[in-house]
Amino acid sequence: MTPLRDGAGLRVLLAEDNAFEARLVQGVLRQLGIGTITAYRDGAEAISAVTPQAMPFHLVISDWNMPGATGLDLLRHVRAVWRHTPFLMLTAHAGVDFVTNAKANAVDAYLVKPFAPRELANRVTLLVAR
Amino acid sequence: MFRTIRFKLAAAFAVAVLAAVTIGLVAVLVVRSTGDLVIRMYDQPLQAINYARLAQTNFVMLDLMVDRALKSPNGLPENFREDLDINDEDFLASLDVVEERGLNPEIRTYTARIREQNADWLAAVRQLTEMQGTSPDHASAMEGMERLGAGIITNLEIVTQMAAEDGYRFRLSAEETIKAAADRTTLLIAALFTLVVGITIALIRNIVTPLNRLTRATIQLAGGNMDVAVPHTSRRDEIGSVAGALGVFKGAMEVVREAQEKAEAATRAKSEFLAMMSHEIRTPMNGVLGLTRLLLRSGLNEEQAKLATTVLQSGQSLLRILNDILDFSKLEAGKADIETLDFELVSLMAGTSMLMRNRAEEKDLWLREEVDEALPVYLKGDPNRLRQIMLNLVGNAIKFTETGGVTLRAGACAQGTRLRVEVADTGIGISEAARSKLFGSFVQADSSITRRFGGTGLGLAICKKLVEAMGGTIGVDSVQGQGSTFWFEIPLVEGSPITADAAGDYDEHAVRPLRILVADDNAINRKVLAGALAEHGHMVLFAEDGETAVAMVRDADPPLDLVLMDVHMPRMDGMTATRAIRALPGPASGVLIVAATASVGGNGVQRCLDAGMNAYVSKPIDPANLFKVIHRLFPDGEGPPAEFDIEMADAGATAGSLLTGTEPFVADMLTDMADSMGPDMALDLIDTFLSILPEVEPDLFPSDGTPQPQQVAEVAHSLKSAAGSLGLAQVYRTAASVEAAGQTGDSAGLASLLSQLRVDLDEGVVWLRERRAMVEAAMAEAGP
Repeated sequence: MTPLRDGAGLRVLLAEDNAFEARLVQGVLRQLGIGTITAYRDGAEAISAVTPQAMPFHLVISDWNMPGATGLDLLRHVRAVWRHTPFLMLTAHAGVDFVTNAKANAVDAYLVKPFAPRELANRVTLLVAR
Repeated sequence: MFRTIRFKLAAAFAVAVLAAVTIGLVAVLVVRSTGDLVIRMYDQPLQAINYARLAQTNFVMLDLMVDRALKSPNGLPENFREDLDINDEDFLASLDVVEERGLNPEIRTYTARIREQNADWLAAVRQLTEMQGTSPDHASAMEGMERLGAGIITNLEIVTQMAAEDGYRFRLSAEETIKAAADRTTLLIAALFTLVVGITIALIRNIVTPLNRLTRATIQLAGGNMDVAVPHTSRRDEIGSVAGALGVFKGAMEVVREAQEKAEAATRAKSEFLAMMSHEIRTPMNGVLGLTRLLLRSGLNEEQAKLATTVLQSGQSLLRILNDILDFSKLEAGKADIETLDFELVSLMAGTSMLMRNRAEEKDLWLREEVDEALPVYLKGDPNRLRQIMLNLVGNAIKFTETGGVTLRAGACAQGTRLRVEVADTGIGISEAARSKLFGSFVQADSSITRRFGGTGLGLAICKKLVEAMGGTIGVDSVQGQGSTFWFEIPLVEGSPITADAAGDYDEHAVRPLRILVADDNAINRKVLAGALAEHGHMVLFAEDGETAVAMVRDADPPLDLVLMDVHMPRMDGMTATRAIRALPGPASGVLIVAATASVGGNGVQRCLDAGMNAYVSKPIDPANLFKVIHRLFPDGEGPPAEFDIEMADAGATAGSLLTGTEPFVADMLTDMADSMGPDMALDLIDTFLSILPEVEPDLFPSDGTPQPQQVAEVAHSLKSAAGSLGLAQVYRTAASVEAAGQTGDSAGLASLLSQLRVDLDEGVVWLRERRAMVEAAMAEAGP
């Protein structure tokens, strides 16, 4: 896993309630050399962090199932505030309706849990490179 | 008494006799009255007319004679006076007859008047004969006499006329009489006929129809239709008695049938209970055995290892007993699955004795097989069941033999129409009394044998059921102290050489990657199918009951290509699910459905096809067979183009491989994690996982034994991803099933899945700790 060139300047918003997954994602992000990781374990809290006044994040990584609000709620809110921020959805649902729904709300990428760290790293690398 | 059939028949007979007598009497009467009529017709009116005419003639002749005599110039003839009297008497005699025979009373008035006139006329004639022709009174006397004569003639004419009228009147009245007699007779016969017909109808309605009804009821009852109501039970005659007896018969039959049903239900319940219990015990038993094996590998000291080995062996023998019971209860329930395959007898027997050779050698016994060379090389039958029987018999023989050995022998008997297999030993032998009970359930020759040798005593009972299911017989010949020979005979059917075709040629034309839904409640079946299907590049989805399957077919986008539908599933069976899918709107209803069913015999398959399934495979599923069916359903390997979402497939690659894999652990995932993120990160994640376990376990395995499905689903949801990331594939799969069961609220399924999860999780933790130690060791090695 090669660290990103300008990783230190990147800011990532992570919304994930599951302690294990949160740790795994943070581990991967650190390996990539991401400078700032703002983590929430509650969907509603994550939404409240997304305001027009705040400095935009370079990437949002969100779980689908969370207390407070779902990843889909967060996605809709992000799209309303920052149109172009890349959004990576994590989910244990491999169901087709998930894909359709997420695509309809302009998700940039998604990853079905469980995933290998490399798979996440590849997607993050692609998304921040845009 | 008046309602009995005897009385009715006697009454009917009496009426018939009466009718016959009446008809006879009427005939006699008619004949007689007709005779009278004829006589009277001839006599009376004719005589009256004839004599009236005669009297007329008599008088005219008399008058003429008198006229001639009186006007004769020669004077009166000699005998004139005598002649006058005689002729007048004749005239009066004729008049008498007219009087007598005349029917009209007026006639008698006129004849009386005629007699008076005749007397006057006679007197006038006599006076004239005394008188001289020259006498002055002569002419007037003559005139008076002639006037009297004319009056008589006129009156006679009237009498004659009246007699003639009488005749005509008589004719009319005779006609009337005849007509009346004919009418009366007709009326009487019609009345009698009506009476007879009425009696016949009454007899038919009263006797013949009820008898027919009773006959029908009897036939239906005898045919087993107990819903028939017995008619005419309230009658008080012979039919009533018969109906009453039939009612008693029906009651008795109902009692017998009820008892039979109860007995059958009890037997069924017993078998089901046995099968269920065995099954329920088997699942945790597998857990015990698995964990014991893990325990044995965990570096125990010698004493601990010995104890654990004993646990393992005891568990294994318990499992064998359970399998025996399961097998037997299946056979007892008539569910023997006997296949017909081609097999090679020699290799079957060699394989059997090879399996038993170790045990024989342990006891220092010889074991040999002898096959009659006259037997065909290939036979048709069920080699697996035959092997089971032979293994059982040979195993018993080894068990009960201390010195010498065992011979497994096969030959033909009954002119080559039957295969006879013998297992002869040199053991303790069996007494005649014991031999008769030997093939019953739970029986050994001597209960002390159970203590010495163990076993359920079900082996021979199973063998007997199997042999009988193959249409054969089983038995034993033995001399106590000199060994026993167990034998069985089954129909011998020559088979054909086994070709290597069995594996199938489905690979020849590869089928495009399909989206397949496997609907099966059995986790092992799912695993096996997932492995086989994924190997051929198909994408596999799972449903554990019919309802989920229908929902998944409905929601699938792009639509599924194929559903492999287990017929027996909880909540909604495969038949109902198939019908529900066929009733879906849109293209989803057209998905191809293959039934997986254990009951391919009878109309099981037909019912699948009727429900709308396209094909079937028999269970347990032979993957080769499944692929043949799939190949048949997708013959050109093309079909509609596969809209295979690369991104989607890629996004779920890890999850998919975990789901479709069969191995319990994927060490590569941990290795990969350690490589990509560093070993300390991997250790950290393992510790994180181990630390969240105590948090989730109380929800999954509550101490009160009643997990809350919704909560279990949530916990299992988060557990499965974490477990999957660490390579705990089996925990991942079981947790996914638990989540699904929790979401659907299937408490029964949840209970067995959770106990499975408990086992998987325990094994997983042991494995994870091993891996953790390995990573640590690698770090320590690399560290300095």
